[in-house]
Amino acid sequence: MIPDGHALIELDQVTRRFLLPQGEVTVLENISFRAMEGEFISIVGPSGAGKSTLLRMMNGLLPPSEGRVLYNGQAQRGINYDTAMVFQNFGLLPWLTVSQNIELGLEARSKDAAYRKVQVDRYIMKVGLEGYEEAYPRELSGGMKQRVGLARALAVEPSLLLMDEPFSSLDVLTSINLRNELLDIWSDRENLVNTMVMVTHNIEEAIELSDRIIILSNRPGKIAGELKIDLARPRRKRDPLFSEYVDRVFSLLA
Amino acid sequence: MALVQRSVLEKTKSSVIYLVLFVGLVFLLIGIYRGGVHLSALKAESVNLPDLPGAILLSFMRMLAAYLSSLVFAFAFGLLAARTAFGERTILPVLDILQSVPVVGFFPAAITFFIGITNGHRIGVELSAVFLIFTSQAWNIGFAVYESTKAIPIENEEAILAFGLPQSQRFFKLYLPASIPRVIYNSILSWSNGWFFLVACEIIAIGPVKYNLPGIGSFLARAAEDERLDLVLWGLFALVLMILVLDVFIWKPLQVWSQRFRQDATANQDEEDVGLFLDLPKTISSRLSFLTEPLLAMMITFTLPIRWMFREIIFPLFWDLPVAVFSKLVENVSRPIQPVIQRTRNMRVAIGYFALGFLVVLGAFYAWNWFQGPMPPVYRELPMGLFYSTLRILFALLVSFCWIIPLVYLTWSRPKLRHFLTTIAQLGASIPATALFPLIILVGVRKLGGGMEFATLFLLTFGIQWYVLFNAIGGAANIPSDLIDATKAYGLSPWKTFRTLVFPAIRPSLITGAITAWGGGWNALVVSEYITVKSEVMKVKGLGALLSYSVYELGDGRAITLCILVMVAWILFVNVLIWQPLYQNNLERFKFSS
Repeated sequence: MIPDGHALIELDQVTRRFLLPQGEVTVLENISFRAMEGEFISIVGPSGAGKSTLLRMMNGLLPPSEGRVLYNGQAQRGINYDTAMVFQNFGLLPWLTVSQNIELGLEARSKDAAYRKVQVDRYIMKVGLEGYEEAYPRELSGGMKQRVGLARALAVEPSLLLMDEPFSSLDVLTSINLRNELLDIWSDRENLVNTMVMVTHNIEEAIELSDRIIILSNRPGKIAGELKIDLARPRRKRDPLFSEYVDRVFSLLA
Repeated sequence: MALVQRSVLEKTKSSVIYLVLFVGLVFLLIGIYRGGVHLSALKAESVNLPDLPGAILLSFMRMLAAYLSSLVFAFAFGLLAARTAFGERTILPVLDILQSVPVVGFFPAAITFFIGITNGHRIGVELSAVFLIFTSQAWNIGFAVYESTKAIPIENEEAILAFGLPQSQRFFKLYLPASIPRVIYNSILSWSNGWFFLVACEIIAIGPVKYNLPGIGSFLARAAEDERLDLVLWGLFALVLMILVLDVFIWKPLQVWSQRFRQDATANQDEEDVGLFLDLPKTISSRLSFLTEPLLAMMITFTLPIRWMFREIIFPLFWDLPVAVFSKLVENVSRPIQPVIQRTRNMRVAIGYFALGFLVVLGAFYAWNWFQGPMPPVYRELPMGLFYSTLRILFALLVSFCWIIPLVYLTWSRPKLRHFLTTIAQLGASIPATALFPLIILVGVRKLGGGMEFATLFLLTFGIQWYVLFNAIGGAANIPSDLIDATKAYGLSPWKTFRTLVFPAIRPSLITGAITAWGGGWNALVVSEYITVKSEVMKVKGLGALLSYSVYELGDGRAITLCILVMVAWILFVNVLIWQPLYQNNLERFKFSS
């Protein structure tokens, strides 16, 4: 898929520092990139490179220390409710059922009960959780929990979906399934959301899914390189071109 | 941002309309009902059995008022401490100090204050009683909220933030449910604390303060003054019944219910043994379970209008709107001056310390001036008073150890007997020690002529022995079973088993019990060293008696302050320099590492 040239979100020379007891630490330095509408971007880097911090600045949970985050060309202030986030450890509330968890974002937008019901049912179906509407998160497996997280994010019909290591606390088989489903959702034109930014430390996962990979170096996190993946989907790991991309990412990381 | 602002504003509009309608309705109802309600004045002179239900009910209302205030306080300050750096640095140490202060000492001061601000109205006495009970309930619930909020996984909080739920929803969806297990657990402890202080301040109010505070405590005290043993026993029976009913029908079910709000699935060891009758609920509440569904449905129906009012009027108007406006304001103001704030950080810290130092010096100066001039005669008696009071607590501890250690030795390897003992002890501990005081005065002092010293020691021992007992039983229950088998296999003599296994194993628990008893004992001392029976003062030598004497006979602010300061300083001094090192030392030597 070729981006249509409209930048949905743009980071303009963003730097982020944290004040820790031992002094000020620069986590991210001078990060600039843009995500085009319809694009799937992965941000890859070693642990501690500030990947999650980058994601939290994109939806406004954290303000940048320097630089700007532009959304649709406008400087972003406060939390951007046009985005939705999927978390590594799911971020589900243990005392709410699957339906109630998915409903959260819709409630925040003061949607009426009938619309909420329609949306919840629709996305429960979309992620394949029929029959688990009244279950509590602790009764679900990791893969099913992440489906709830995904449904919750999709239900508010965001323009930008942000994912923070969405597959890393799942077992291998579950994550393969969920990755395929994510691609289906992404390429499904019926969905409003078709721009996705994912943070991961799994290089193969990034190559399998993304149009473009942004590679971060460590401490402080800087952009070490950018790689466009020109492979037809579905992509196979045993494809020699695929391994070539893996090697190129590794060389950029080193 | 715009989105949430708009939704908050939309909600506000409809809420204002509802509010206007509601206020109109209330005025209409008031217009229709202009009868006026008169609370019949309660007799102060003597009591009879028919007064008992009213007395119990009034006491319960006081407890409820104090508990609800404690909850509001605990959530407000617990959340502030957990979610702001400034709150964490200031609120936690203050709570910690308040927790270790004998609050009964402040009751007289509180009465003076509240009667002052209410122009001598009776409501002032009520307020000070509620305030005193509040001070015995609030702090640990505050810590519970703080710890629960701190334990919320960051992603759960971010998920809520990222969706932009209004502030009130964030509270009800995240902070409140996350706090429920610990808050319920601590509420049970708070209520048993509260009964002790409720009875204490009712007895004090009716005695030396000479205000009538109708309730179960004053009922008992009045009955003892009239030498009506039957009334005293009825009163005690009613009080214990009340406490047991609350425990079995309110707290136990609440505790079971609260487990569904745990973040993790595994149960925590130290939160299991709480409340009375560990086994009762399994039998009783399972037999009564057919009642829960209809009761719940009834509750939901009855509270429907109230919940609607909160959801549609109170939360949007008085919570979400101010928070949204305020945070928008803060954001707009702080953005331009953000760089300035960061650059001047060191300077602001310096100014903060300077201001703090200035306040300390100012305070010291005023204190110095205040204590100039001829001191009331109390200060000369302080050292001896401190000595006698400390001796009393040590004596009470010794008596407790003397009967508890043999008992624990008898039960340590017999789980059934231990369970039975625990249940009996829980029944005994449910009686607030202060409620027994009128009985002891009536029977022990006035009928048998035991003397005031006997009454004081009895009350003190009764009050603090439970701390030691429950800790010792808990310690003995934790002895690993393979060690029990080993002592049997080697055929150790009973004495040898006691010396090499049981006593070392329960030593840290005994010390923990002693530390808790040390803190709690001072409250009992303030109540029991000085009492008034029919305008006749009975007292023993001690710090508690000195404090009461300064309040009721001298009415001297400096003497009161001096007594309280000496008491608090002494408690903290002994805690830090004796108990804590002793405990650390024992914990390291005698813990079962496995």
